[in-house]
Formats: sequence, structure tokens, C-alpha cells
Amino acid sequence: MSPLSLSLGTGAAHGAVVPIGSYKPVSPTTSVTFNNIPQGYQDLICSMSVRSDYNSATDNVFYRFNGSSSAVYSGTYIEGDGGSAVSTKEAGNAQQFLGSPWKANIAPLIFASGILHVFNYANTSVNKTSLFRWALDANGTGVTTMRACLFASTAAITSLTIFLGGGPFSTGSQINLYGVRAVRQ
Amino acid sequence: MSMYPIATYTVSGTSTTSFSFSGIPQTFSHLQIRASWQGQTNTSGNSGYLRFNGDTGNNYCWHYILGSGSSVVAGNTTTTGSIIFGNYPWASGSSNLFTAGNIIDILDYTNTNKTKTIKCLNGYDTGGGIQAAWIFTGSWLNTAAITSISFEVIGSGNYFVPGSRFDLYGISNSPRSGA
Repeated sequence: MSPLSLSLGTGAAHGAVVPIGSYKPVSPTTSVTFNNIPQGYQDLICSMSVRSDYNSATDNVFYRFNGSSSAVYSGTYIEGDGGSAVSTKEAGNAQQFLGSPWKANIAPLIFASGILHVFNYANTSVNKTSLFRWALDANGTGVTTMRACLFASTAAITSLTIFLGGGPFSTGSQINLYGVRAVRQ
Repeated sequence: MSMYPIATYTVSGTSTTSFSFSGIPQTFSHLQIRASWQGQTNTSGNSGYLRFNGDTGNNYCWHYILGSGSSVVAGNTTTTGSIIFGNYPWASGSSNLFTAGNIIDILDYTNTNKTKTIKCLNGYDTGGGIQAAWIFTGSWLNTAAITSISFEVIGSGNYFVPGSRFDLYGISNSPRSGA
């Protein structure tokens, strides 16, 4: 199934955090892409409340910038799963892993929550650093995660794709993109 | 609740070891600082620190949990002269491409009936080199309203790398005009 591309509205200036696009699935889809991201903000924030209807034990959610599937995604995370705290680094991947919004023993109506902060996304002098907070709690199964991510490219970010490894996104999932204005933007 | 840009600071030159946001409006409910930054480490250390209202006394304390990519470490410092707000991937040679991301939240910063607590998210990854994911908490053990915030890197020869950028935001509980 081809990625679902959104038409991005101009968005009224709601203070510093300006809505750019929003996605709520109305038909089965495993991927959503925000294209033609305006370049006039300082940072991007992508919030997500997601669940998967995958018919297997686990599904994972990822992102890519600018449609790139090159091995330029790396990340370091710290995570607590209710029993232990771990930290692992991942380097040179073709996409950035965010979390698993679905496992077989998660009760219905429980959605994972995540917020991705992309810093200095339009700056063409630096690689792109993002911080991501992920939360899922199913009353026994769950994780809380903080992840520092690298997109090893100095290209300005003009698109963001959020996608599931299995999918599709469950009805009720919501993914929103915001621009963060700085002074005089 | 709405967030409004108050001020921004972009580092220029290669000698900036500290800077401040001063004259912070007292008309918001909370503050947030967002930063994309890097430091040059000449001797040792790769941390950034902040202080409030020019207070250089030992009136700060902080806790942290760190994911280094291979282990989890927790720690704290008491009765100290500043709060650590983040670590940076130190620049050397061609490594100016990597920056740390930071989000610092200061709630109820004008309230004179409580000390001030901050929470920070900080992290960076250099693609297999150095990396860290940090969560910090800090307290300024003073009930004064916050009117200025200073940022610094310490250590002989250390400085903020040019292009590092810090943005200050006010968060209001009611609609208002911003910058």
C-alpha cells in the first residue's frame, strides 16, 4: 500500500507551536507522510497516539526523513520496562525505530503515546538531532523510553514519514505535526 | 495553554563560554528553553550548566539518569553552584556536524512561595561514536521569581560552538500576544 500523503494546511500562528498537518486514519494504512514541510520554523514536533491492527505478536513504528532509506539513522535510548532499566545504541539503520505500539497481550483501547522533537530541522550546516519520548502501559506490559536520534544528513528536512512494520494503524490513531517558531519567525 | 517565543541566542565566534537571558517577562506561567547546541572541549568535561538571577552561591542541586548506549547510570549532586542542563558531543576536527538537543522546562517560575524545579531532556548521537540520552531534574533552592537565566560551559578552553542556538519560550494559561 502506498504511503498516504497529507495536504498541509497553511496553519494559523497559534503562538510558538503552529499546526502543520494532522492524520487520523479513515482507511487502513501503514504509513503516513507529511510532505512539503514549511522551512520557516526552528523545530518540529510530531505527536502520536498510535496502535496497530497487526495480526502477529508485535508491531513496530518507525520514521524516515525526506524519504531516505539510506543507512543514516542512529539512536541511543534509555528504557524502563517495569523490571529493569536498559540503554542501547543503534547505528547505521535505514529507518529510525521509535517503539512497539502493539503486542499480542495488550488490551483493546490501549494506545501508545510518543512525542518527537526535531531540532534545527531546516539548518543545512548540521546533521539532525531529535529527542523522542515514548510511553506505553497496558497494566503489566509497558515501557517508558527516552531516545536521542541522529539523521546523519545536513539536508533540510522537507518530509517526515511515520510507518508501521506490519500495520495498519488502528482506528483512533492520531499523528500530528507542528512547527515551533522562534523569535521573528 | 499557549507557548510564545520570548528570546533567542545564537552563538557566534569561538570564545563564548557563557550567556544570559535577562529581563524575563513575569507575565507567563511557565518557561521552556529549546536548544540545538554543541561545545568545544579543550581539557575535559562536556556539560552545560545554568544559574538563575545571577546566583552563584551553592543554592542548587540536581539528579540525573543517563543512558550511555551500553549502561544506565543515575546520580545526583547536592548544595552546588549551578544545575547541569545537558551534555554535548564535543567538537573536534570535522565533528561540528553533531549537536545535542535540549528541552528545559521551568514551571511556575514567578511564584515566590516555592523553590524552582526544572526538568531537562538532553541527548545526542554521533552514529556509532559518542552518544547519550539524559534526563535531568534540578532545583534552585530559592523562592525568588526567575528574572534571568545564565548558561555556561566550564573547563579551561571550553566554549559554546558557533551556531549553537538557545530559544526561550513563555507558556501562558490564557491567550496573549507574543513575539
